[in-house]
Amino acid sequence: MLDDLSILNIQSSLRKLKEKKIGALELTDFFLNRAKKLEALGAYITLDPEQARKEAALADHLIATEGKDAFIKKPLLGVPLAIKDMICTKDLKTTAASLILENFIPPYDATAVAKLKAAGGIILGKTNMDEFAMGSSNENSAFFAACNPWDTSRVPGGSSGGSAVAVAARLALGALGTDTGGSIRQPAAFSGIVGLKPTYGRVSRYGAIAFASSLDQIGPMALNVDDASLLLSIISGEDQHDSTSAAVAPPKFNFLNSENKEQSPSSSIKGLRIGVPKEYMSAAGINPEVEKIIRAALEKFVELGARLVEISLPNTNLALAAYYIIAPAEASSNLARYDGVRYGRRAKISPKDSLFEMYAKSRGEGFGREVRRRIVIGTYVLSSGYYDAYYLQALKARRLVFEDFVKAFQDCCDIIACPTSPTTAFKLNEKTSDPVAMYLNDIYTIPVNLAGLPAISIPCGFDSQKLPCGLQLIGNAWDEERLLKVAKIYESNTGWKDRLPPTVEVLP
Amino acid sequence: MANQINIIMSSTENQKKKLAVDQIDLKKTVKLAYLSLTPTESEQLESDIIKILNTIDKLRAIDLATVEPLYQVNGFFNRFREDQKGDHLQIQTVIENAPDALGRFFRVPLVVEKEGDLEQ
Repeated sequence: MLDDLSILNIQSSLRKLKEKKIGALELTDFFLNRAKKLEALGAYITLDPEQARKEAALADHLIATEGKDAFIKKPLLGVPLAIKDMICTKDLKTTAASLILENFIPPYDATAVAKLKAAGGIILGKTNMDEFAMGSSNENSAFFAACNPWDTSRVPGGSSGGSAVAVAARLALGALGTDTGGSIRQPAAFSGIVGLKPTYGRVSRYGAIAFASSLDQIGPMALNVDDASLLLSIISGEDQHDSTSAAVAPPKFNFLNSENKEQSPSSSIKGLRIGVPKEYMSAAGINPEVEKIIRAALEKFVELGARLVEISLPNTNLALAAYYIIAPAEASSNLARYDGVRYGRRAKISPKDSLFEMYAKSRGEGFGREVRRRIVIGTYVLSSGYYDAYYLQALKARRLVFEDFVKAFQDCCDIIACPTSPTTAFKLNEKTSDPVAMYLNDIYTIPVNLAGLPAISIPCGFDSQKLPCGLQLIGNAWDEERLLKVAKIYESNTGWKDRLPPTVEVLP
Repeated sequence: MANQINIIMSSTENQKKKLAVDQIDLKKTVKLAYLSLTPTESEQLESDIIKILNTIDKLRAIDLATVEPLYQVNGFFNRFREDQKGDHLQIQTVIENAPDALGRFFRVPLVVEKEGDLEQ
């Protein structure tokens, strides 16, 4: 099985582990070796081979003694996973790809991580990202960029770029990312994998390093919809450590059980109303090839029995501006905690330096350029005299964007389909000199965060340069079950997920 | 180095807000953000900020007077529970991440300064 990467995923690995055709340690070593061999892709900031192998050996022991029963309590037993370096892992360095947290060792696990561990998942290491999740290309990492496994001269997307690369290049079976404005979905699209941003409040944010708390969500990145669904079912749920996590029952994914008979596509999708926002498909900046691929995907849904409905999200044009006020505003407040006192970097100071100078120097040298930009913008829009004109105005625009979606789901459609990103993966350094050009890459993903909705990006084709393209499906709040079902039906009727990136077909 | 950025904005007839010219005092904002920057970094920041403000400024021209702000989609409500005795992080574990510590204390530069020597 390990010599055929195309059939290697979480579900297939779990079957082999259950049947004792493969061991957890063997599987873990396989991925650790690949991660080392393909280090040049820049997927991981930190690998944790020692602990991962220890946990894998424990998993093997449990499987040996308890057999298949071990998987009832631990549904991810022996599954090697990667965690975005934005999410705290106990005793394992967590940097947010920032110099300011270069040596930070969290004394606790994020709830999502604790749940993966409790389910038997093996944490291989921490993945690369844009510093503090601010970026769409992974080039804002303070340490090194990551590159796209489909074409190493291109970016893997961001900010969860390392997690996307780790999954796409088979350096882990699945990963966690965080998504504030598209940071799971856009890199998933660029790297040809599945990425899900859950409904705001579905997954606890406890232990996720805060960027914009009203927008941030942790979510799964995986090779297929089943794997993403399984990871979601494990990490979701109310958490007393996060007051914004909702008391909503975790989604049930019975339909995923491969032993169950899959419902026939027509029964699940027949009559489904798929909304296609007219503002998105005609948007300036959408690459014609991407548009063509998305239209073909929409046709596929029609073929499967769904109905396309043109919908309008008239306030889409306000979303980007609102986001780039709200997210920096929340970031400037959240990042005020980095003061060089309790943890993180402290600048070298002279005995004459005041406390203020210590703060300012530590922050000045600890934060990278994009983070500084956003802190300054955020500070400005919250400052006296500008709060009403910018911040409050943005929150009002946010309501309009939110209501657009509410109305669409109430009146017109069950699910919304659109591109994840207006382009496929762009070249490294292509957009680094222009922050606004980089921001425009998020026009289809940002409104979803403002509205707190669940959305998934799934592979839906390749452009003429053989780069993967992502289809974004947006669901109504708390409707992940339908979202995943529809994604699964599309996936099983197309073969996009089975293609392997050319640069990663090396074996350890 | 210019610390004042003047941004020319298009005015709309139905808006009485002062939209024609707005100003960001960059030096003041950077100070509020507790960031110390080199001259080169300040210059970079200045040109970046102009581009970003140009993008977000279009929101100001729209009349949203009757719209309620949306801070968070799930609404705000208090979530109370009874106090519970529980575990806490060990002081030593927490202190280990500190850049400068003395025993069980974080060490910082002098906070209270001599009279007349205070940071404004």
